[in-house]
Formats: sequence, structure tokens, C-alpha cells
Amino acid sequence: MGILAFDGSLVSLFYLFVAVIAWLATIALYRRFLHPIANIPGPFVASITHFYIVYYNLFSGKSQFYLRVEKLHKKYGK
Amino acid sequence: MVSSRDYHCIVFRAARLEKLTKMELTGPIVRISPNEIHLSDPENYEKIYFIGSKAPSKAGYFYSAFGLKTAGFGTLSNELYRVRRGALNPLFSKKAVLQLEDVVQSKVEKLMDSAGQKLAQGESVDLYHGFRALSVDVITDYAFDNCYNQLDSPDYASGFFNMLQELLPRGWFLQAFPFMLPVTNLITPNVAKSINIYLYNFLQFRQVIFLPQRG
Repeated sequence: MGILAFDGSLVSLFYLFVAVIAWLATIALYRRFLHPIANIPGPFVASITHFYIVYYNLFSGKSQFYLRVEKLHKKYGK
Repeated sequence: MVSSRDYHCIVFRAARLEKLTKMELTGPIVRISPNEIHLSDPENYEKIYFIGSKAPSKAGYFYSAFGLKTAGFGTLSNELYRVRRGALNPLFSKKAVLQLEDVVQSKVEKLMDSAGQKLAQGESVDLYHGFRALSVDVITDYAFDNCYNQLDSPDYASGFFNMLQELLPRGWFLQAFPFMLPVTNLITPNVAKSINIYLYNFLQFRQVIFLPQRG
């Protein structure tokens, strides 16, 4: 069996799960600490994913991220 | 306070941000996504966006969601945009805009007349939609030579604006899930009728505006 073969066992699923988590964690760490704009203040969630904006535009209200931006400037702006 | 300029979230790619930060941006600055910052001070707008600016091209995820790849609005690269905008320049020269004056004035008079009539009858005037109808009539008359005559409708075509407002979240959705754009294009008017009446109206409207090009 090759390295890439997936036999469907629980152990393989576990490795797959760990790999996905590690992959996402690497992206998050890069975006938060090494990214060119890592030193600019802002909410933690926004620094690692676009879905912060999506949440305010689609789910918590209609198209209201701009209202959130005003609050963010009060909190993080300097 | 959020000024009207703030609505134009200044969006650009972080990879080229270093060049921008040398421009001495002013005012509060907040990171709103992995690749985006938001600047509160409207002064920055003129510093970044001016004729001949070397600012980075538009962020694809933001503008591609509208499905307008060949329109000026959806053109991502600055170089290509200059070419496309150049084709329109004669239409918006000082001379051309002065000639536009008649079009604008006639629509303004139309709005004033209808508002005056309503006031004379003791009715209220819906200026919120009135001013929007005025813009649409001027733009469609000048740009398409096919005036929508929204000022003639008694409620200033408020249904048209409700349609656009209701469909705005579609843009946010497609920004989040761009792979859905080809899928949404598969929606036919009949299907749309059962999903969302505003979407149905929009598809009808889109069919109408494309008609003259076909003929």
C-alpha cells in the first residue's frame, strides 16, 4: 500500500484529521505572526480568516460589516 | 464617525503593502482580514488613488464576486483598466459633460414638477427614491441612450431599488464562496420564481437590458 492510499480505517481517518488541523493551524500562525501586515492591530479572528467579514455581512445582519468597522476603529484604531 | 468615503473600504493586497506604508498613511488603521486593512481617515484615499498612482491592482476576491469581468468595475489589473477606461474618456471630457447639462436639467425639472404636483395635492414626496430615480434616468439616458423613465412612475420605481437592495447579500455570498458563481448562473427565471421573487425580477431586468445588443 502506497503512502497516499486511504484504507478507510479509523487510524487513517485520524491521521487525515491531524493533517488537516496542522495545515489550518500553519496558515493561521502565518497570517497572525509572519504575514506582512501581522503588526497592524485588529481582532484575532479577522487576522486569520475572511469569514469574520462574511459573518457580519451575511449572518449577524444584512450587509452590516461597515457598522462593525466603526466599532473596530474605536477599539483598535490609534 | 464613519464618513461616506469609508464605504469604499480601501482594499488591496498585503504583499505590496510595504510600498504603500511608505506613503505615510494617516489616522486609525485596523486589520479587517488576513489581507486587508481599513483606513478611517478619508485623506488617505487621495494619497493612494490618483491619476498615475502605482497602487496595487484590485483584490480579485472582492470584485470578481459581481461577475463583471469585462466591465470597468470588475477589471482587476490597473494596466488593463487604463486601456478600457481610455475608451470611455471622450464621453466624460469637459465638453461632453457640458453637453450632458441638458439631459440633467430636463430630468431635474421632471422631478421638481412631479414633486410640486404631489405637494399641491397635499401628498408626501418620496425623495429617497426620487433622487435615485433621477440618477438612474440620467445615467441610462446618457450611457445607454435608453432612459428607464423611473421619474414617470408614481413611486419613483422603488421596486427597482428594493430589488437591488434585497440582492446585495448575493454579492457577499459570492465573495465568500466564489466557486458558486457558475452555479448561480445556471438559475433560470422559472427556477428563480420559486426561490426568490427579487431574483426573478432581476433576471427579467437583465434580459431586457441585453435585448438591444442582440437585435
